[in-house]
Amino acid sequence: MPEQKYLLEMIDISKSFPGVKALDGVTFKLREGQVFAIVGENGAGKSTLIKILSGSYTNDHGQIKINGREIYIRNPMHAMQLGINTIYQETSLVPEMTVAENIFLGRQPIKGGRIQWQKMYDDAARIFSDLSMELDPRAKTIDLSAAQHQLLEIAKAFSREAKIIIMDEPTASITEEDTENLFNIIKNIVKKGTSVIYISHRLKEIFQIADMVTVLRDGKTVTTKKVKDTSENDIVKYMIGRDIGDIFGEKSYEATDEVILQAKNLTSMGLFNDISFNLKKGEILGFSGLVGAGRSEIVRSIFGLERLESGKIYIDGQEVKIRNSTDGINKGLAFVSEDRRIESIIQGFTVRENITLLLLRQILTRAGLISARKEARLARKYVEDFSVKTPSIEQLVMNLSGGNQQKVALAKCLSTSPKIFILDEPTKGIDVGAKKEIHTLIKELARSGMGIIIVSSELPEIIGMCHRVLVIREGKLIKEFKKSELNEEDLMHTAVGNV
Amino acid sequence: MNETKVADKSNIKKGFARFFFSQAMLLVLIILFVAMSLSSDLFLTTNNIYNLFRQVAILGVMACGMTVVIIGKGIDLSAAAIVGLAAVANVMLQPYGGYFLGVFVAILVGTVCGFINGYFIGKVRANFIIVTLATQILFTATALIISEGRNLTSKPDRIYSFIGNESVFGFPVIIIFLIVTMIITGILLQRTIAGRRLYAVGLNDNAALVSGINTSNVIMGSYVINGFLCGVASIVMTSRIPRIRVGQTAPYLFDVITIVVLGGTALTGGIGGIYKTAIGLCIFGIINNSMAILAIPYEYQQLIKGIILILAVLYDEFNRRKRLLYQ
Repeated sequence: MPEQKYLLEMIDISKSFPGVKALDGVTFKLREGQVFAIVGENGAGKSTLIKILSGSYTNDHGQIKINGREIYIRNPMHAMQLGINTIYQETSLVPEMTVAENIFLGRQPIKGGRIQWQKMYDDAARIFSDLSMELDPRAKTIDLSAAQHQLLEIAKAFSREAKIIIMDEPTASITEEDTENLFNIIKNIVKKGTSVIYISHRLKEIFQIADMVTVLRDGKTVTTKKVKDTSENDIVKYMIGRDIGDIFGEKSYEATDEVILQAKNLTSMGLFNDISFNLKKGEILGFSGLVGAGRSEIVRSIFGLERLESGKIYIDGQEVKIRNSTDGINKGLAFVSEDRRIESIIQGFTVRENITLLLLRQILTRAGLISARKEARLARKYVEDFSVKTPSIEQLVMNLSGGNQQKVALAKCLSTSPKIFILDEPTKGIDVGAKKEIHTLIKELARSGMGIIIVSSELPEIIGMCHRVLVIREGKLIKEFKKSELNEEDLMHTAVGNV
Repeated sequence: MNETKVADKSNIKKGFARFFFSQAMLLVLIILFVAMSLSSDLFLTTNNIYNLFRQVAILGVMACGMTVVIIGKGIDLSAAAIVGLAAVANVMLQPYGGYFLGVFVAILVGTVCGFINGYFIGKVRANFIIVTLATQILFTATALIISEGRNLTSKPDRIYSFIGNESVFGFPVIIIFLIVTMIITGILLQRTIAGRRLYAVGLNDNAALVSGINTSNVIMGSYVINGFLCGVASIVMTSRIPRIRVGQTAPYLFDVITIVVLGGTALTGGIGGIYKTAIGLCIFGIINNSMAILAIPYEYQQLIKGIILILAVLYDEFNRRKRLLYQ
């Protein structure tokens, strides 16, 4: 490579929060037209680094240079003026506006005090064709899929003449097919000279898209390598500082024949239609399909979080009526939502309060009051059993890493000793180490006789974990795959409907 | 080795900062107390301290209820109107069935009013500000209609005025009453299943729902408890002040919200408790009492109270941002 100047240099960046050194002398250098991946477990410092670059935080130490000139990023607005655009997991689009309006929000073409709608639509269309995106400038943003939102965000950043686009887990909530499309778009914008900083938990993607990769661990740069000079196993090793072997381990046991849950003709208009299936004791059943296909809605309705219009549910051969989550829990079900922050745990509660929330009846004194001693003992037991890494049970859950938060959520759900455990995207946004622990735990639960349902967008997870997989498309059950038939291509083709 | 030492040190520092920050209002209280003790001979006398608490006892009982509602992420703008209605019903019925009937009716009226609020807010999911704004007018109007707008006088009865005016072993009964109410509400919040669920709903009603908590019932319950405590407050009031007039309770609302917010119970729900409200009550009581001792004119007292509520809200907002920062 010719001696090309760096577009962006972050040199010896440090940032401390009270009690935590989030970044400790991190250096990384980005050239024009590069896709630079940053990986690391949760809490490794990726988000902090991005927030410094996008102007939300300021660094305590170190220099930031753009085109060799030292700069000081004052705030997010300033970062944008410098050509640094960040696309977060939660998009910043206005749902009620059209696609074109979102692109030109705050800088609509105006003539004589009036917005030139036609010009705005034309300009948007030009950007889309430039990037070979298939988006309708006049469509309402709310009608777009999660993947299209990501594309729109990229188009928006591109139209602002961004020099650097930072993408934070862009594929977290989109399917593999959309991911491919997204990668093509990224390749397009890179060809046009924009650089991309790419943050993801999915290591496979890094090998598809990135030129360079930097691994962070505990706020420090562990290594920076050309992607073609490294391997997935290498990176995992750098990330966690040890070998973890095969990510999914062995499926060394069989499900029993005893049916524990039977669903018959479950229907909820507009969401899903005529879904029937069995779940056996000790079985791990997967729900696969595109996001929005109705997978989550089906399992949520079984737990009582969505209304069923018709259909019957049998547990241990007995028909049950589950109208709300209280019924669900009482009937021996447990459910972990895909939305950890909003539905699974209470961020403002301590580890102790989260774990015991469903078990309060068991820790009462004779007078009917919560016994602090019993509660602490119970919480400590679960923290140990689930190897939650926390300084104490009095730590607020929001201060834990994603993986540990998820462990707390699992501990809470399992505290009721359920017979059937439903997990919606159990390892979304969780680092490799914790992911492996959670997978092992799920398998142990199945081996002990629990019936388990996993909804996941990660095909390797579905394939690695499940005995059987149901593919849902547009609210209908399309196909059942047995363990021996499972492979990524077939699952994907079935999910998108080109069989 | 070195690193752990540094970490320990910063942990201690962090712990200290957190303690300091979480106890900021306790500090304010101590400073106020010392300042007043030094600046006026009239302040630190047994009589004045008793007096100080007598003045805020009714507010204190109401503040317990308001704390419960605010922890559930709500607010009750009709609280003072409930006290007024319960007091009118109580005093009007005393001639027919004595103070037992009066007390019973006051509690009943308060609880029913709380239930009405709770039904619309918890079950129907109507906006709590609008619902309680509406019921505020509704309850006040009802009180005016049944009392025909007259001033009412409670039956002068030694037993009835016991709570409001007597002392046991030289200690005012009204203060004992306040402390007991606070302890019971505190236990309810900290040590019962219902209390824990209320915090859960206040912090994150989605997660509470998924955890099998009937959030509608919890929210409704918080308003019912508040209504009940407003009924209790009305008994304290009629026992202390026999002559009542509809509308006389209206200013209580402002004071009660000030006390709760000042103490540090978060308006965003799920954070706070009776301990904080007790501190808020003491601060408010001292300011109230000092303004009287220093003979500040009424208009200026109101001005100061307005500023205090603004400061309390700023403190609430400051706390919220601090929490976000650590998230």
